[in-house]
Amino acid sequence: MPGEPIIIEAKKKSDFLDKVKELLPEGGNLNLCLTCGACSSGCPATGLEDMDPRKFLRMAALGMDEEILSTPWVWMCTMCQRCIYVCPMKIDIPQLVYNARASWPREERPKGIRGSCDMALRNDSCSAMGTAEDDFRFVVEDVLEEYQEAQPEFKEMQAPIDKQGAEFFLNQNSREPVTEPDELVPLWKILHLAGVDWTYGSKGWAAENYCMFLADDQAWEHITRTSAKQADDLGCKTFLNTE
Amino acid sequence: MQDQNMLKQNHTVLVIGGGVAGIRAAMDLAESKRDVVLIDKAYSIGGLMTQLDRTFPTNNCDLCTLSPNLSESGRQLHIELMAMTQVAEVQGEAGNFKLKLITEPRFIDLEKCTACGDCFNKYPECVRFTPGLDHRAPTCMRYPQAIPHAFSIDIEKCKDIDGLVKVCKADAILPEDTQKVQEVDVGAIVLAPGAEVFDPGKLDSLGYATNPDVVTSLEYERILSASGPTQGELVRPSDGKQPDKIAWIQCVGSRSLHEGAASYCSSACCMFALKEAIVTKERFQDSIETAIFYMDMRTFGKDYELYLNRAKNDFDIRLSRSRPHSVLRNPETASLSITYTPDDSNTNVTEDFDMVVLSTGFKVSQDVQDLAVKLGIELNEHHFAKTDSFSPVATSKSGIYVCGMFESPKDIPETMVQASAAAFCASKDLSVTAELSESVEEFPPERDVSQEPLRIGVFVCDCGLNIGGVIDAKGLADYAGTLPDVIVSEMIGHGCSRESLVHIENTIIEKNLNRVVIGGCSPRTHETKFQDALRRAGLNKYLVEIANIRDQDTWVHFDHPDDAFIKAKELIRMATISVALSRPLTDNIFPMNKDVLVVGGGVTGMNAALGMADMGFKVYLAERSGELGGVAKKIHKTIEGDDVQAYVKDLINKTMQHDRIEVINNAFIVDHTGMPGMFKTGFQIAPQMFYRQIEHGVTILATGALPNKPEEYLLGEHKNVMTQLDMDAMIENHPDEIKGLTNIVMIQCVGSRCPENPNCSRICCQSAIKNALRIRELNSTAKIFILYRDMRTYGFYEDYYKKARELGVIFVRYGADEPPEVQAVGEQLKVTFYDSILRRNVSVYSDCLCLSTGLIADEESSEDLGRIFHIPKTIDNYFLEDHIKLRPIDLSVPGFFVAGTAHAPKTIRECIAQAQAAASRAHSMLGRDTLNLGAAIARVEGEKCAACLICVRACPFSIPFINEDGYSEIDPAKCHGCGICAAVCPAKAIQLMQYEDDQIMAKLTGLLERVN
Repeated sequence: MPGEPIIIEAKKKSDFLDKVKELLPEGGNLNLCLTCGACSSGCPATGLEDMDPRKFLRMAALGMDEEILSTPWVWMCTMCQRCIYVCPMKIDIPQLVYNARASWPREERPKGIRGSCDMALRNDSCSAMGTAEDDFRFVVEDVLEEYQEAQPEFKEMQAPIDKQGAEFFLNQNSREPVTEPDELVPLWKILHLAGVDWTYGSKGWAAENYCMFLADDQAWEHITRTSAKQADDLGCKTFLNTE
Repeated sequence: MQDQNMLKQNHTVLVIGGGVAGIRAAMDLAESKRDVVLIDKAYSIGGLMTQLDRTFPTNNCDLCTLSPNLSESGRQLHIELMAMTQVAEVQGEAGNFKLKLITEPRFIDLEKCTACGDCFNKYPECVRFTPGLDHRAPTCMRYPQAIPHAFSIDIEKCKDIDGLVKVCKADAILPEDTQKVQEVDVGAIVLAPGAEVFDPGKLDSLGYATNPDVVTSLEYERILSASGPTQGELVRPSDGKQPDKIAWIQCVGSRSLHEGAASYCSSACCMFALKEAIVTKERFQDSIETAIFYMDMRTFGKDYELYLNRAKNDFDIRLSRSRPHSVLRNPETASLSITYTPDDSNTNVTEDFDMVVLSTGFKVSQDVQDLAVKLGIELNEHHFAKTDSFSPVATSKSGIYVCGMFESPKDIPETMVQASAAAFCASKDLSVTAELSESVEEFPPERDVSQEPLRIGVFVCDCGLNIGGVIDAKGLADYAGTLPDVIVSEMIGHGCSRESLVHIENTIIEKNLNRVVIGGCSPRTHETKFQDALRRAGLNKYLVEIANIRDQDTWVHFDHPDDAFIKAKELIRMATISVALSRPLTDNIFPMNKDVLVVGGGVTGMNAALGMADMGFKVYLAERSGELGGVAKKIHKTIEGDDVQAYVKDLINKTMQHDRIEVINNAFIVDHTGMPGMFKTGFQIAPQMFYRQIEHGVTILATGALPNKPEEYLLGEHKNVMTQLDMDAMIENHPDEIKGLTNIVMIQCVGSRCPENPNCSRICCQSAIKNALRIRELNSTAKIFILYRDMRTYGFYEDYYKKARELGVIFVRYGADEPPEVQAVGEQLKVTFYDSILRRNVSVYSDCLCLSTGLIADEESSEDLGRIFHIPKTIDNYFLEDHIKLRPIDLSVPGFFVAGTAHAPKTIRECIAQAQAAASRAHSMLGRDTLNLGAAIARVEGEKCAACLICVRACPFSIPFINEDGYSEIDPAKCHGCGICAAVCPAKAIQLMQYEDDQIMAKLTGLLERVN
C-alpha cells in the first residue's frame, strides 16, 4: 500500500464541505458522489497537479481541508461546468472549486488572474486590459469609419456607444479593441444586416470578468453592477453578453 | 346474505399484459381451474422478451425458451386471449369488478388468417410491426411464432385496400373492421403490464440521437436476433460492417437525477450487458473487443457472480469501472471516441470504438400510470405499483395484484416468481366455491386399428415462410405420397391452424387413415395439438409421428435449400417408417393425493403452508429445529422500517392455530419414495427419534440458508467486531451503546464472492445501509465508513443508498485483491484500506467494526435432502431449479418446488413472494384430480430377463426390483420414463413404451436406406 496513510481518528469534521453545502441549493448535492468518474473523464484539468474533480470532491468529503484549500489545481479549473453537466448526481463541483479559490488569501491567488481583475477595477470600462473609456470610443469610431468607406455596401452601418433607448446592450471582450480591432467588425455587420437596434456602453463595455475567476466576490459584483447600471441607464431592454 | 354474496362472486381473473409475467400468471390460474381473460395492447402476446435474442445465464435462444409457454397459453381452454385490447373503465370491488374493454381493429379475421405472409409480401407498408431498428424486417411478425398467429393491418397506411383484400387467399382482410367495446365481470385482477425502456435521446453527450452506431441495448438485441432487421448478422448501422470493437455504457437513464431519468437501479442491465458481450464473442468472433463501462457491477442474482467471472476470465470481456463523459464521432476514423478516467488513475484515456451500446433502464409508461388511476391503485414515488413489505404482490386495492416490472424493475426469473405469486393471491380470493366451470373436451371412443392394414396420411406444413420459403413443401408432400402405405399426402399451409386441424380430422375419417405423419415443427410445442386432432377423429393419440422439418432442417439450412430438400425427404421417410410401427398406448393415470408437505418452518415455509391451507389443502409443515421462525427471528426491522418481529410472531400464531396445518417440529427426513400425487416421506422425530411416514401429493422445500460466520477480521476474537445481525440486535437492544460510537466501519462481501462461497449474498448491501441509517438516527455525529466491492442496491434500494450518502456515510470501494486490513489496538480497531480515488491508504481508528457476512447454504441439510429427494444442487449447495429462467420454482423432480433462501439468498419480501409462487405451482399441480404420467414408462419382458441387476443399479430412482418370479419388475406408478434401464439392459428385456427399439431401429433404417 503506497504512501503515508491518511489517519482518521476521533471526530474530524469536514468543515469546508459543510460550509459550501450551506451556501448551495440542495447542498449542491455534494454528498451524493457515486465516484463513477464521469466528471474527471470530461475535465480538461484532470491529471494536473495529481488532481481531478472526483479526487477533489473525495478529499473534501474525507475532511482533508488543508490539502484542498492549498492545491493550486483549483486555479486550473476553467469553470466550464462539463463535470456537472454529465454528473448523474448533479453535483456542483464548480461551486466547490470556486469556494476553495475564495478561501485563498487574495495576494496568493494567481498573478495573471489577479492582475486582470485589478486592471478592471481601475476605471469604469471594467476592462481587464485597463483600457480607458476614451480609447475604446476612439477605436470603435475609427474602425467604423474605415469600413464605411472601404465597403460601400456597409456605408450605413453603425456602432453606437451610449445610444439612449437602444433595444440591445452589447458588451465586448477587451482584446479586440486593443489588439485586433478588425475582429470587432463581423458582429457589427451581422447586427446591421439583421436591422438590430443596439449600443455599446461607455461604462462597463468590457465583457470579461476576471474577478469572477479570481473568486473575488466584491470586485465581481462591482464589475457586474457597473455594466448592468449602464444598460439600465440607457434604457436598454436586453443585455447581450458576448463572453 | 353472505352466502348469496359468495354465489354472486365471479370466478374469472383478468390478467392485464401478455408478456412473460402475464402468460405465467394466466397459465398458473388456468391450471388451477380459474377462467382467465388475458389482454394485451399489442397485436400479439410475448412482450419484451420476444424481442431479445438470448437470455442470461444460459445464453439460450429466447424464443426457443419462451415459445412452448406462448403456444400453451394460446391452447389453454381456460384462457381467453384478447390482443390489441385495453381497459377503458373499471367499477366495483374485489370479487366483483366490472370492466369495459376496448379492442382496437386488427382489420384481419383471426379465424381465417393463416399468417401466410401474402399481404406482407405484396403490401409491406400496410402491415403493423413495431420491434426493432428496421420497421419492415424480416417478416413483420413480432416474432416468428406470434400468438395470435396472424398479421395486423395498419389501414391508414394502406393506399390500395382493394388490392390488399384480393391478395389474401384466405379472405381474412376486414377493411371495415371497427373498435369493439365489451364488458367483462371478473373477481380479481392481475397486473402485468411491464415497462418501457428509457429514451437516451435527451442525453446529448452520449450522441444517441446523432450517431447511428450508438444504439440501446434492446436495439442491440434486435441486431443479434435471427428474427431481427439484420437476420442475426452483427453489423453496425452506419456502414453495414462487422464491428471490431464495441463498448457498453451502463446506467443510462438509471441511478441518475437527470431529467426524465430514474433515480432507482433498473436491476437487470448489468447482466444483460454481460450477456450481450459474451454472445457477441461466442456467436460472432472471439476477436471482437468488448468493454463495459460501469459504476457498480450488480450481478446479485442466483449464480450471476459465476457468470460475471466467466465473462472476465473465459471471454476476456473488459470491465472498466468508470463512466465516460461523452461519445463523440472521431472525424478521422468515423469511429466513436470515448474518453474515460480508469479506476485507480487520474490520467484520462481516449479510445475509439466501432459501436456503443447504451444499457438503458426501465420505467413505467404513461399508459400504465393512467391505467393505475382507472384502477384506483396507489403508485410509489417512481410511478411503480405500491406494495407492502410483507405482501409483495398485493396493490393498495383489495383484489388487484401486480407482478413483473410494474412492481419494480427486475429480470425474468424474478418476474416469473412474482407472476406465480400474483396468480396465487388472485386464486385465493376466488377460492370460496370449490366447484368451478369445468371445460374438458369430450373425445369419441378409440377405434381398434390392430387388425387393419396400414393406411398412413402425411400432412406437410409450409409454416408460412418458415418451411415453404426454403423448400418446396408441395414437392415434399408429393414425394411422401410415393412411400409405402401412404394413402394421402398433402401440403396444408399451417397445420396447427384451426382450419387445418379440422381438415386433418376429416381426412382421417374420410380416408379411414390409421397412422398420421406431420411434416412440421417441434413436437415439444405442437405435438399435443395433433394428438388431440387424432383423438377427435377416433384414433389413439400415439399413432402420430412428427417430422420436425422446421427446426431441424429449414431453419438451420435456410442457406442451402437444395440440400435442405433432400434432408426434408429423409426426415419424412424416417417418420413414415417409424409411425408404421407405432402402437396404441394407454396413459398411466393415477388418483392424486392432495396433501402438501412443506419442509422448513421459517417465514417462507410458513407463508407457503398458510397459503396452501387457506386454499383448503392439508399441510404438513416439517421443521428441523424445535420452533418456527427461522433466521427472521434475528431480524428486527426491514430497510423500509417494518417490524419483522411482530410479523413473524403473527405468522407463527396463524400457522400454529390453523386447522389444516400440522406442524412437525424436530423432524429429520430420512426416506422418500413415489411420484407426484403419491409421495411417501419418512421422518425421524427428535428427541426419541421415533419414525413416522406421511403421504402427500407435492413437496415445497423451504429449508432456508444459514447466516455466515467466517473467521475473518477478528470476528469472534475482538468484542467490537460483529456481524450485521449482531448490529441489528445492538441497535434494538442497546441504543445507548450506539450513541457513544465515534467511528464505525462496515466491510462488505466478507465470506461472499470468494472462492469458498463464490456467489453474492444479495442481502448485505441493503442490510449494511439499513443499519447505517438506523445508527445515523441514534447518532448524528459518528463517522460511518462502508467498504465495498460493488454496491448492489438494486431496484428501489438505490433510494436508501442515496439517503445514506446524503447523511454523510462514506462509501469506499476496495478490490478483491486488496482487501482492508484490520488490527486490534486495545479497544479500538485500526482498519486500513486503499482508496483508489485518492490513491492513498486510509487508516480509521474505529470503535466498532461491522462485517456484512451474508448467507451460506446449509450444506448439511441440502446434502441430505438433495440425496433423499434426488434434487440437484448448485456448486454452492443451493437447490437447483428446473429452468433458471422460466421455471425458477419448479425443481427438476416433478412435484417438488423450492422457495426462499434454500433457492438462493434473498430478502424477506422476496422470500414471501417466492413462497406464494411455490404455493401457486403446487396448487396448479393439485388442480387435477388425477395424475397422468403419460405412456412413456419402462416395461419388462419377464422371460428375457436374466435378473442381472444392471437395471436395478442403473435406475436413478431405485424403482426396479427382482420380484418373486425372479425377474426385474418396474412399477408403472413410480417409473419416470427416463429410459436408462432400457438402454443398459444387456438382454433387451426392457422396452420404453412410445420409444420402443423397433421404432427407433426402423427410423434409422429409413434414414440409411440409400446407404444400404
